[in-house]
Amino acid sequence: MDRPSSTFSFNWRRLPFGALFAVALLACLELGVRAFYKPPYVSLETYANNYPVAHLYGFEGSRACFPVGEQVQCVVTQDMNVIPQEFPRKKPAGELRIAVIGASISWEGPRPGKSNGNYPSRMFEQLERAHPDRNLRLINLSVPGFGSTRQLVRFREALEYEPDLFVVHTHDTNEVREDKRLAYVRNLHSGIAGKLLYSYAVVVLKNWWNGVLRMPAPPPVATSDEEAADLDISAKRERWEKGLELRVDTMLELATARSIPVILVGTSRSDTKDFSSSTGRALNGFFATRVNGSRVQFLDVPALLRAGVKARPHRVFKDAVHYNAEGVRLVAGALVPLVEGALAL
Amino acid sequence: MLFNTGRFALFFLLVFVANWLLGKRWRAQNALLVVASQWFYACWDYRFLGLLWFSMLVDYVVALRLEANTDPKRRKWLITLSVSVQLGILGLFKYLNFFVASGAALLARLGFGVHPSALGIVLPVGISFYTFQTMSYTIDVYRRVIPAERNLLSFATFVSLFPQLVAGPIERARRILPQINGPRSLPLDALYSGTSLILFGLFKKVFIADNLANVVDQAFAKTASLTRAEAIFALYAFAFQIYGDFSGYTDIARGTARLLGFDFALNFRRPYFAQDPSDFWQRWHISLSSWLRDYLYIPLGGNRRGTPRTLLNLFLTMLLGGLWHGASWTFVLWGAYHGLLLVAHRLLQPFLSRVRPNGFVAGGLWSILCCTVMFHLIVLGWLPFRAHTALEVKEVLVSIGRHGGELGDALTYAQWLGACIALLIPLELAEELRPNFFEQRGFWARGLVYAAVLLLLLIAGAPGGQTFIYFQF
Repeated sequence: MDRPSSTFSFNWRRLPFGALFAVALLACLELGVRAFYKPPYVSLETYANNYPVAHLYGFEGSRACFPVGEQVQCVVTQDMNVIPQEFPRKKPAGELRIAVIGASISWEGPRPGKSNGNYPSRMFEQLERAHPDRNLRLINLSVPGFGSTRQLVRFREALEYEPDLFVVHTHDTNEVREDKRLAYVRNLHSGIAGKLLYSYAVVVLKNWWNGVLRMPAPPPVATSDEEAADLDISAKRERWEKGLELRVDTMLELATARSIPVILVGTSRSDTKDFSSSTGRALNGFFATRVNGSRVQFLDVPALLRAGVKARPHRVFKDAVHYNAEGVRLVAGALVPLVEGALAL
Repeated sequence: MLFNTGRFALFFLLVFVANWLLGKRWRAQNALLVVASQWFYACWDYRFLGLLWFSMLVDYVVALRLEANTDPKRRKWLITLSVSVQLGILGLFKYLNFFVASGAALLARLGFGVHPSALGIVLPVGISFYTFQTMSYTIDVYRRVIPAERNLLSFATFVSLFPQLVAGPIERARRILPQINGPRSLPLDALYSGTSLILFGLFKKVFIADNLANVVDQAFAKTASLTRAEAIFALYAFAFQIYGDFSGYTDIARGTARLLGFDFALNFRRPYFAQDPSDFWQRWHISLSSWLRDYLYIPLGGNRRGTPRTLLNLFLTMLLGGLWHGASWTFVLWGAYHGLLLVAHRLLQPFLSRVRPNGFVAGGLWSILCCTVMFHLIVLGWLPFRAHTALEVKEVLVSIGRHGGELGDALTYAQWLGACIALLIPLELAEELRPNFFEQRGFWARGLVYAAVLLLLLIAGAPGGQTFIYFQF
C-alpha cells in the first residue's frame, strides 16, 4: 500500500549543512574569543549607555602611547586596560584603595606606580609618607581624552576593585570631543547593532577592523533635523552641561549606594584671569551644590590656584588645561587633607 | 522601509509567516500581499499610493478593453492612451522640473531672461519601475502575447508586489501572472536559495556598497582638487559601489520573493566580466535592457532596416535608457556614452571576429584582454552617472589626466576597495568560470563563505539603513 503523501519524512540529506557549518564556525570563534579575551566594557548596558557618542562603534583611535624601550607603543584607549597596571580584584584585608577617574590632567602616565609629575601620584606619595602604617593603593583609571561618558564606564569598572574613595576629575573640554551627533546614539547602539556587542568575537573583530586595519566605519546618516540641531551651539552647550551633570550625579549615586566617599576636583583653565571659563564656572558651581560633608567633597581648583599664585607668583599651567609642577604641587597638597578626612586616616 | 533595516526584517517575517499560514489559498495570499505591499509603499509616502493605483487601474481597464476589442483603430487608440498616461505620469513627476529648468537655461543663453517658478514636484519612489512594468503588460496584451488579467487582485499583486515595487526587477506579466494565479509552494531548495540570496544581497549592499559609498562621497566632495590616483580609485570604488548597491538590492528582492513562493527573473549576471558592450547589457540590469530591447529598440526597427538605422536605433535606445535613470544631463551623457560604445562595437564586430584567436590559451588571453578593456570602459562610463553636474565630470577627467605622483587619500581608497572586493571577486570569478561553482562545493566550503560573509557584515557593515541608489530612479 502506498504511503499517504502527507506523511512527514525526515531526510537528513536535505539539511542545510553549509549554513549549519557556518553557525558552528561562528560559535567556535565566539567560544575561542571568550576563552582568551576580556571585553573592554563592563556590560552591554554600560557600554550602550556610556559609549553612545563614540562615532566609530566606540573604537575610534583615541590613542595613548607609552615608551617601551626605544619604541613607542600606542594603545587604543578604549581598550580600558590602557594603563598597564594590574590590581587584584579582591581587596586584601586592611588595604585602602583610592580610585582616580579623570582624563589627561590626572592620567597616571606611561610609567605607572612612579611619580610622573601628575597630581594623583604626587598626592599618593605624600599620603604614603604621612601614613606609613596604612596600606594604601592608588588605582588611577584616568585616560587622556575621556569625557564624562567614558569616565562613567571607568567608574563602574572601578567599583569592581572595591575602592574606599573616589577622586573624580571631569573637565568640560573633553565633553566637546565626546559629544557627537545624536544620530550616532540611535544608529550605532540601538537595535541589532547594540545586541551584537554581546558577542565578544564581534567586539574583538570590530576593534581589529577599525583599529588595527585603520578602517573606520563610515559615519552614520543623520537626519536633516539632527544636522540642524547639531549646528545649534547653544543647544549643544546645554546638552554637554546637562549630560556631564547627569553622569557626575550617576557616579555620586553609585558611590553613595556603596558608602564610598567622593572628592570632586574642580575644572580650571590657564587662559582666563581667574583660571576658570564660563562653562568651567558653571561646572564648578554644580560640583559645589553636590557637597555633602565628608561623603562628597569638592576641591575648588581655580580658587586654590588663584590663592597659590597670589601667595607665590608662579606659572601653574604648562598649557591651557594641564598643570605644571607648581600646579601639581598645589593640587596634590590640597587633596591630601581631603583624602585624609574622607578615609579617616 | 529599506531592505537593509530591522524594520523591514520584522515586516517581512510577519508577511512570510502569514503567507504560509494561509497554505495553498493563493487568492487569500494575494490579498495579503497586496495589503502588505500597500503598507510597504505607504511607509515611503502614502500620498503616492493614489498615483500607483491610478497607473494600475488605467492599464487594468485598458488591457481588458484591448482584449475585447478587435477593431485595429480602436485598439491602437487604446494602447496610445495607456502609453500616454504612463509616460505622462513619468513626464510630470520625473521630468517636468528638468525640462522646464533646461528650457529656461537654453532661453537664457539665447538672451531671453526666463525665471520659471520652482514647481516643487516630489519624485514618487519606484515610479520608473512600476510604470514600465504596467506598460509592458498592456503592450503585450495589445500584441496578443498574453491575455488580459481579469482579476484586479491578481493584477494589483503583479504591479505592487513589494519586493520589486520600488527598484525592480521590472518583471514581465507573462512570467509573473501565472505564478500569481495559482498555488505557490516553498520547497526546501527555494527556502535555502532565497535565504542565501538575501544574505549575499545584504553583504553586497551593507558591506560593499555602503562602505565604498563613504570613499566615493569623500572623493566627489572635492572633485576640483582630486589627485590623479584619488580620481582613479574613486571611479573604481564607485563601479563596485553601484554594483553592490543595485545587485544587492536585486538579490534581496529575489530572495524575499522566493521565500514568498515567487521566482523573479535574474537581473545581474556578473556584469564586470562582460567582454563587449552588448555582452555588458545582457548582464547588467537585465530586466531594463530586455525591456528597452523589446519595447523600444525592436519597435524602432531594431536591426531590420539596414546598418545606419540599426546604429541609430541602438544609440537612441541607450540615450533614452540613460534618461530613464534620472532627469539630468549627466544621465543623458551616460546613456549616450553607452550608445556610442554599442555603435562602435557593432562597427568593429567583423574586425574583432576576424582577429579573435581560436586556441585555448590564446582565446583565453583574448577574453581576459576584452574583459579588462570593457571593464575600464564601463568604469569610465560611471563618471557621468555619479557626477551631479557636467562640471564635476570635467573636473574628475582633468584630475585623471593630471601629471604628478601625489597620492592624497588614494591609499585609503585603495585599502577600502581591496577590503570590500576581496571576497566578492573570487566568488564571482569562480561562478563565471564554472556556473553553480559555489552550490557544488562541499558543505564546509559553503559554510566558510557563509561565515566570512556574516562576519564581515557584523564587524564592518556600514551603520544605519542607507538608501539604495536606484530608489531615486
